[in-house]
Amino acid sequence: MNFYKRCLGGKLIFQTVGESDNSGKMPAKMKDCILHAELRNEKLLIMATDMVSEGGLIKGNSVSLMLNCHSEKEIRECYQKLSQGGEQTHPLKLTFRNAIFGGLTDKYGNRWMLNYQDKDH
Amino acid sequence: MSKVSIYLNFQGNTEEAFNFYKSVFNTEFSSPIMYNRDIPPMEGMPPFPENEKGKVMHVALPILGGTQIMGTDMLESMGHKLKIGNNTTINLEPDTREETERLFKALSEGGSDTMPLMDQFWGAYWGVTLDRYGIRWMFNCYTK
Repeated sequence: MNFYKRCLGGKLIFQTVGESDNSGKMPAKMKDCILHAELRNEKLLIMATDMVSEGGLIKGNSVSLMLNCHSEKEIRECYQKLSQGGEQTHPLKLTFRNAIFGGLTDKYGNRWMLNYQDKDH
Repeated sequence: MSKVSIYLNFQGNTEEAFNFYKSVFNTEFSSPIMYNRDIPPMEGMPPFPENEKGKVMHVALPILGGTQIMGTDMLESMGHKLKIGNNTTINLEPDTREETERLFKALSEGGSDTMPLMDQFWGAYWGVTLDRYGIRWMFNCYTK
């Protein structure tokens, strides 16, 4: 989440297991795990947790977050930052609708699409 | 305008899935569905095989609070293969418990991996479901 804060900006808060009302019911070794985190800026709210279900974490490819940027500078900066250490699956390029578009999988396995279009479509 | 949307992939049934979401959220597509056959030919891009021309290239649907879900079909001809994970969940915060229950019931139909709606210690009426198309939804309703 600190990585996403560096990429996207915003206010980040964490609640650990140890700080929660139910911490007594949880194993001591988990008390520093993140129960709930929130990164909030003017356009998005990302929530996250270390509390993975019993089957473990499975990284899928069915969901991406799509960022519509408001300037070419913003899209280039966001793309560069988010793809650091990850994979640039679709480098930014001009599409047939005269938009700049790109896709990436970040170093944590989360997928992003970025789009910038001069005027609203 | 700067904004964030959620982009969903399906293995060839995007149109069916989005018609389902349209009926669940009672909203209309932001613009007509764009199919692969609608893409103008581009240099260096091979034409789509016949069976993929009618697949969805792009569809957008507003859900709650102005947020849009968008979707596209993965293309076998390009080696795309859908993998359902558990690392991403779409969180919905409806205004009322009634609306939360209605949406939860509708999205859960034919789905799996459900945590029924319950009042939680953080003050929300909360539940999770994996819908029939493999998309995971979470509910947090803060109104009593």
